[in-house]
Amino acid sequence: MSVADSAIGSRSAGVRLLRLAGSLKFALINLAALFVGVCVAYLSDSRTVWALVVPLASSAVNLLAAMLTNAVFRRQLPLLVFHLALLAVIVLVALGRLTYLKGAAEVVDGGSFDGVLATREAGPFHGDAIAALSFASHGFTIDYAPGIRRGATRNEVAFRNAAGRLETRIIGDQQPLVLAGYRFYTSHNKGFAPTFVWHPAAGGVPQLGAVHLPAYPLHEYRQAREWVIPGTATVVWTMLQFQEIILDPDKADQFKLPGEHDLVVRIGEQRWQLQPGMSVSLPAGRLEYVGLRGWMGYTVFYDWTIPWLLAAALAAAFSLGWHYWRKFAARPWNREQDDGTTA
Amino acid sequence: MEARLRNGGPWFLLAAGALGLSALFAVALVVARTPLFGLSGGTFRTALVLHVDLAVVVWFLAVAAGVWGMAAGSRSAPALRAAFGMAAAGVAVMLLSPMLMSGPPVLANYMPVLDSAVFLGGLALFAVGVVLAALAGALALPRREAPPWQVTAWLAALVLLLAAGELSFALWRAPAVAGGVPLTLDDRLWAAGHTLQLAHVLLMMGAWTVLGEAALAASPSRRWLRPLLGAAALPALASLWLSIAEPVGSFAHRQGYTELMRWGIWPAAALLGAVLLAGIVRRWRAGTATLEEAGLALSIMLFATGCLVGAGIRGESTAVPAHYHGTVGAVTLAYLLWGGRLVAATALAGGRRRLLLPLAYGLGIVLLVAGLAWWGSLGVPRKATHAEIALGGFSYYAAMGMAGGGGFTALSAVLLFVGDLARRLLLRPRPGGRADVRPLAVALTALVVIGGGWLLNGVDAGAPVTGRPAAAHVAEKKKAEIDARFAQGVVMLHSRQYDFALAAFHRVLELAPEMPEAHVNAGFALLGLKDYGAARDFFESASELRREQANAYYGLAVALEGLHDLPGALGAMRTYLHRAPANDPYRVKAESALWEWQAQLDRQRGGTSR
Repeated sequence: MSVADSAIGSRSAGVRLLRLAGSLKFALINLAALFVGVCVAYLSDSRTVWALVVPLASSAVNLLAAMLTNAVFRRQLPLLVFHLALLAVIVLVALGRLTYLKGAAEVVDGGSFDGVLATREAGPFHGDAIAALSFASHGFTIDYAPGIRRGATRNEVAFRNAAGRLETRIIGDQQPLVLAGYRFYTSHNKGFAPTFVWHPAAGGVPQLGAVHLPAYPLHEYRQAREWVIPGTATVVWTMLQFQEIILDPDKADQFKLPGEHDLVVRIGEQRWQLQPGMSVSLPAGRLEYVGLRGWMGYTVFYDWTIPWLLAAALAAAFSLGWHYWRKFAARPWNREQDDGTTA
Repeated sequence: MEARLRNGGPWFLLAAGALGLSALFAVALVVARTPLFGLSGGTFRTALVLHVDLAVVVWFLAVAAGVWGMAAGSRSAPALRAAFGMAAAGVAVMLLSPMLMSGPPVLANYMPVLDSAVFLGGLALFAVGVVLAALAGALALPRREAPPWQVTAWLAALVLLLAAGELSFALWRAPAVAGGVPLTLDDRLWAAGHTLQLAHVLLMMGAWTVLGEAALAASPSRRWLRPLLGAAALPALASLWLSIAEPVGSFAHRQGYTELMRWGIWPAAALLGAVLLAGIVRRWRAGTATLEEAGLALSIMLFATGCLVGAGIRGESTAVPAHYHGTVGAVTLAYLLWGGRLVAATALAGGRRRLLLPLAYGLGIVLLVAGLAWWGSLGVPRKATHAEIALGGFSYYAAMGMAGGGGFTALSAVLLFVGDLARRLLLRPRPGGRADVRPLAVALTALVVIGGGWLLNGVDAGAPVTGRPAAAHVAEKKKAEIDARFAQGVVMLHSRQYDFALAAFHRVLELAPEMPEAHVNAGFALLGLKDYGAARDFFESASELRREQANAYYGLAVALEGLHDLPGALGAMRTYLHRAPANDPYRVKAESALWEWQAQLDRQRGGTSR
C-alpha cells in the first residue's frame, strides 16, 4: 500500500467516524444519557454536575458532526441556523453547569455583605469573585396582606458601581442587585437581630455584632439562639420576648420591629432580662445590649450564560419558524415558467 | 480596476461591516430608550460608544484606507495587507472588549471610548493600520493625468498623517495639566478630530467627482478642478499652525479649530457641489440624468443643509445633531453610491438595490435632519429623551415623528444595503454548484447569539432607590459639571490663567447659557486677555440677565475704559456703586477709579474748550 493510499484510507476512516458521531443513533444514545443525567441530578443530593455535562458535551459533538457531514445543511440556511443555535444552547448549558453558583446570605440592617455565603452550591469551575463583593443593607419593608400573606419586599442597598461611585437601589424578590454578574434577591427569610457590643476586660477595641434570630414569622415561637462571644469560649443563649402583635392576620400590615421588648440572656445558670442600653458584666468583659435590628436573607445566583442562552434559544425558535415557513408556506403551483408552461 | 479593488476591497468590506454593525448598535440604542426593554446606563453608553466609533471612525477611515489602497500601486499591496490585518483585528478587539474587560465609557467628542486596556488597544491597532494605509496613499503621488479622486485621496492621506501627528502630540507630548486644569480626552482629541473632518470632506469631494463624472464633463472647462481640490486642503496648514501655536486645552486652541471648521472646511466642497448640481440639472433637462446622479445631488444638498444648520446653531439644542447628521449623511451617501458602483463592477453585481437603498438612506437622513432642526428651533435640548422634555403640541410631535421616521428609514436602508452585500458575498454560487450557506449561517448565528446575549445582559436589573424622574437625574449631572467647571474657571481667573479660565467659563455657558455669574467671569477673563470689546458684551449680557448683578457693572466700566469710552465707564461704575453693598471690597477701588476717570474727562473737556 502506497503513502497516498494510506492517506486516503485514514481520511475515509476519519469521515466514517465523523458520520458515526453525527448519526441519529448516537443522538438517541445522547438523549437517553441526558435523561438519566437529569434524573440523577434531580434525585441525588450529592454533586451531579458531571451527570449533565458529559451527555451535553456528547450531544454537542453529535450535532457538530451532523452539521459537518450532512449535505442538507449546506443548502438550507434556516435549518443550519437552527442547529447552530441549538449547538450554542447545549454548549452554554454545559458551561453554565460548570460555572454556576447558588447560595444564600444574611445581612443585618446597617451591616454589609462581606463576600461570605451562609450556604453555597457551585459548579467545579466557579471562581472566587464573590469574595471581593460587598454591599450595605439600609433596611427593608415588607407588605403583608390579611392572613399574613407576604407581599412586596423593598430593601434599600448601597454599593460601589463600576466607576467606584456609591449608588443606592431598592431590590426585592424579583428585582435583584447585580454585582459582577452575581444576582442578590431578597427572600422570605428575614428576622430580628439583637445587637451587642463586647468590651473585653483585657482592653482592646470593642466589637459590635448582631445575633440573627430564627426567621420571623416562620419561627414565631422560637425566637432564641445560642452563640459564642468572640474571642472567648462563653456560650450565650439569647431569647427575644415581646407582647406586641407584629403582623396582624386580620388586616394588611407591614413587617416591623417590636417596640417594647425584653431580651433574655442566659450564660450557664445565670439569667438576665435586658433592654437596650443595659449590659452584663462577665469575668472576660462587658456585654452591652445596644438594641434590636432586622436582618434580611438573600438568595444569591450566578450564571453568566443566561442572557446568551436566551438569545440562542430565540435564534433557534425563530430560525425553526423560518424553516417551516419556507417549507409549508402556500405557493402558487401554477406559476408560469420561462417556457410558457405551468409548474 | 480589478487590481485596484484587490488593494481596496478588503477595506471596503471592513467599512461596510462597521456600518452595518453601527446600525445594529443604533437599534440597540433605540431599544434602550424603549420603556419595557430599558438597558442599564452602562450598556446604553457602551452601545453609544460602539455605534459612534463604528459609524464615524471605523466606517469613514476604513473607506479612506480603501481609497488609498485603490490609489496605491501594487508595490504597496503587502504593506496594505498587513495594515488591513491590523485594522481588522483592532476592530474585532474593540467589538469584543465589553465582554472581555469592563471599562467606563468616556463620551468625548469625535471619538468616544471605553476606558479599558482591551478597547484602547483595539482602537490603537486599528489606528496604526489606517496610518499605514495613509502612508501608502501619501506615497502614491498622483500623476498629471490622474483622475480627481486620486488627487483628493493623496491630499486626504497627507491630512490624515497630520491629524495622526496632532493626536500623537496631544496624547503623549502635551502636559497632563494645562493651566492647573487636567486635560480631558476631549481636549486631546479636539485638534485631530477637526483635522480628520477635512480629510473626510476631501474624500467626499473625490467621491463626488467619480459619481458626477458626466455632470462635470458638461462643464465648459475642468482646469479649475485641480486648483479647487488643492484649495480644499489648505485649511490643513491652519490646523498645523494652530497645533503648534496654541496649547492643547486652551480657549484659543478650542476656538481656533471651531473657527477653522466654521470657515475653512466647506467653501471648496460647496463650490464643487454647485458646479456638479448645475451639471446634473443640465443632464436632467436633457433627459440623460441617472438615478446615481439623483443620489449625488442628494448628497450635495445634504452637505449644504448640514452646513447651513451648523451656521444657525445657538446653544445645545437638537440643531447640533441635525448639523452633524447632515454632513455625516452626505459623506456616507457619497460613499454608499461609490461603493455600489464598485460592487457593480465585480462578480457580485448589485442590481438596482445598489442605487435605491442609498437613495432611501439619503431621503431618511433628509427627514432626520429636518426633524432635528425643527426640534432645535423649538428649543429642545440635545441628548435628552422624550421623558425628560416638558414639551408637547403639534410642532413638537410632528418634528419628533419626522426625525424618528427619517432615522428608521436611514437605518433600515443601511442594514438592507449591508445585509444584501453580505448575502451576495457569502452566498456566492460555487463553480458548477449551489451556494454554500454555511459561512452566512455561522455569521448570522454568531451575530444573534453574541449580540443578542450582550444586549440582554445589559437589561437593567434595578431601579434607582430615589425613584427620581430621569430629568432630575440629568439636571443633577449637568449641575455637577457646571459646578466643577465654574470652580476650575475661578481658580484659573485668580491665578491669572485667563485663557484656561475662558475655556472653563465657555463650557459653563454651553451648559447654562443664562447664568449671569458665568457671563461676568468670562468677561473678567477677557479683560485679563485685554479683549475689551468681547468683555463688554459679556458684562452687558450678564446685567441683562440679572439687573442687580453688581460686579457686571464694575467689569463693564473697566471694559469701557479699555475701549476709551470714559463717559460710558463712568456711568457703569456709578451704577456699580449704586448697587453694590456698603461693605463690598471693591467699592474703594471703584470710587478711586471714578475720581480718576472724572478728572481725566474734565482734562479732556478742558483741553477741547481751550
